[in-house]
Amino acid sequence: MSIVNDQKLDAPTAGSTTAAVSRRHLDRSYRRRRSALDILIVFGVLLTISIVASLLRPDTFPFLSAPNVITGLEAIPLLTIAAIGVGVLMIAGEFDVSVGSNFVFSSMVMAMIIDSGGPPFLAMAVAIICGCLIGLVNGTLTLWLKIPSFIATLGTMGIWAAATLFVHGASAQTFPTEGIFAAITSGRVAGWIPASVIWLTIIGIVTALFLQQHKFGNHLYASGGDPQSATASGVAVRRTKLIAFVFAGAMAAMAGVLSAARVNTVSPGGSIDLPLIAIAVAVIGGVSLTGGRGTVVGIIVGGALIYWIQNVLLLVGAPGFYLAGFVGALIIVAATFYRVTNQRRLK
Amino acid sequence: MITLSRRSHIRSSIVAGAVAALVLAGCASTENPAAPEGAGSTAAPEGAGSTAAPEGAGLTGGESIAGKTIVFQIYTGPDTPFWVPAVNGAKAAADILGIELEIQYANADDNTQVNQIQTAIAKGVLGIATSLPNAAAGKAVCEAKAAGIPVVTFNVNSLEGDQADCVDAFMGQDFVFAGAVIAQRMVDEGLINSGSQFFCPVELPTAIYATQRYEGVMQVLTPLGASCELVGVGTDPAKARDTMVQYLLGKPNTDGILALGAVPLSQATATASQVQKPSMPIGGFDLSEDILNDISTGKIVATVDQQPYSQGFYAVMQLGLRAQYQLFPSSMGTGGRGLVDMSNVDEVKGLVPDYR
Repeated sequence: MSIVNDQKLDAPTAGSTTAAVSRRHLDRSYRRRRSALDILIVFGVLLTISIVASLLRPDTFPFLSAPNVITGLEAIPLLTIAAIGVGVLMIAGEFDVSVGSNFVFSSMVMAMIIDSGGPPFLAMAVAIICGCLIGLVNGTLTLWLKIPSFIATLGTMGIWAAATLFVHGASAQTFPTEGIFAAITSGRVAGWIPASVIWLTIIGIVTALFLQQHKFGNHLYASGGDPQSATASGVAVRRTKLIAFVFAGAMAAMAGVLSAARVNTVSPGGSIDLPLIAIAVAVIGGVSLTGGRGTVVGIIVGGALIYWIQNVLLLVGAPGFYLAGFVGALIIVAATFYRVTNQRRLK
Repeated sequence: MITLSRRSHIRSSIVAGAVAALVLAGCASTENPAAPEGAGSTAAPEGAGSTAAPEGAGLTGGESIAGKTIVFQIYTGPDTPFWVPAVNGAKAAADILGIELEIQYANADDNTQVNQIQTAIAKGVLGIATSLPNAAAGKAVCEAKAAGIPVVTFNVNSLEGDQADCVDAFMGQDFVFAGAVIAQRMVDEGLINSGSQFFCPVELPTAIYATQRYEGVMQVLTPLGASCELVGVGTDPAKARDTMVQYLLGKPNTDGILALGAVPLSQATATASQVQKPSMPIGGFDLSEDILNDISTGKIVATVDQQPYSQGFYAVMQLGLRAQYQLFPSSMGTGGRGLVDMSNVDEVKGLVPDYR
């Protein structure tokens, strides 16, 4: 076993010298972190410009106003938590486009339990378990039946959407939140930090530690980057990917729980575009579409960047009718800019 | 490595085909879930499938239509709360008529809608009730008429010219008129004046309901010198609220919210609070529990209810009467000038979401 840059290998890659393996892993680790640094720099620059503009013209560009900051802090975690799940799965080389249906189904189950008088924490736990089980099903279909994950989860997307209608019907479900449950799902710390930010911080730190410091992280990157070599190195690729599927399902459910608690409503037809937006967040955050690369920090910054784009457009009064078009165009610009600068650095 | 012989291939294919056929046969005989207690004769709110004709039901006299099928086709998917009362109304009419109701969803796909209509023609159904947000299914509708199958539209009917003659009647609200009604109500209450700048959020800004409601609103606002900006906020309540908050922060001179759909209207009060303008005038369209609660507390002035239950009920009933007594279907405007406001909100509350 060799230890390089605090990343352990379970076994040396067959046919390679220890020095060559060391260099490869050093490069890989550097590239993983570098991709996050690039997007962080881009976002930092844009954020700085926005802050300066807001300080200079607070009336016409209220970027730093309390309602705008709080809304951003409430909205970014809901998207980003789901994107972390999707991103981790993409690092493992797979996709999950059923996250939107999972988001709705899991939160609907929670809402129904609470509305019928059930304990809210139990309801929340049931929702997360539902999300995990959905991920397990997705993973099993993909890995054991050997169906491409995009296709398998495209199928389960419809199944879980229908499941929502089956358990509840087409009407929206409202439910009360109060006490400690309300505080930890939709409350605010010190009067302004939303609980969802705390959740994102905890989830982000734990996930990042697992990816960067734990053996499982290495296995995940290896499984996504080069599954054959990973298998040859003794990595249990299928098990690793299955865990990633379960994690993605759990994160979709968690995002659904927090979103539902925020507005006390679950709408069966909501979150239709969540899968594509979550994938866009992950890609902009540096996750590779072909697997094996990406960071949690990058995903979080990617989510913040996509939110920033819409936020700025609305604050400056972009034509509302064409908002989706503007946001889409700027996402492409941001992703292209990031890709170009990243490729230049890698050369 | 496992290889399959040619014989094994054929065997596997036959087995797979048989399984698929069995599954399809099972789906074709799907029954709706049981009606909840106390809900009346048709209370099952869930979606696609057939409702079997109850024994002893049906009208007397005329041609017997007992057990025959009427197709009730909804353009979008089954996950839209708006269709719950429409479907319930259709089922109530089907029960009274003693016919079998086949509920179909086109999932907002034109080709699917056309295929469903053509399949209905091939099956020789009694009649077709459908919603037509665009003219893509116009030709199929005319084929139905040519085949002797009457077609009644509900909620929205986009057919014009010769194709419009293929539809016997329309059950629905004039969205333009409704937009003018709610806008005028807010003007009459002194909430919209000359120079007022309002915010018109809607789920899907290019959908026909959105554009027509907006047209009606502007018919009142434009002569007054007021304005309302149309912005799409999507179908997710949390995301809609975020977009609406950001819009109001970017346009601090906005005087009020006139939401053109249930999702933005349900989030309007919270949005106004979040931008620290809790007394901002709010009005809009459609019903939900949140909206009715906000009307009760005076935070929402009034909402338009296009009465989807009526649309579903009368669409099916008219087709049944056509078949049984040869009574030609007649168009009906649902909702009229009626608004749900503080004066009548308590009467409506218990009826959402299954009947209003």
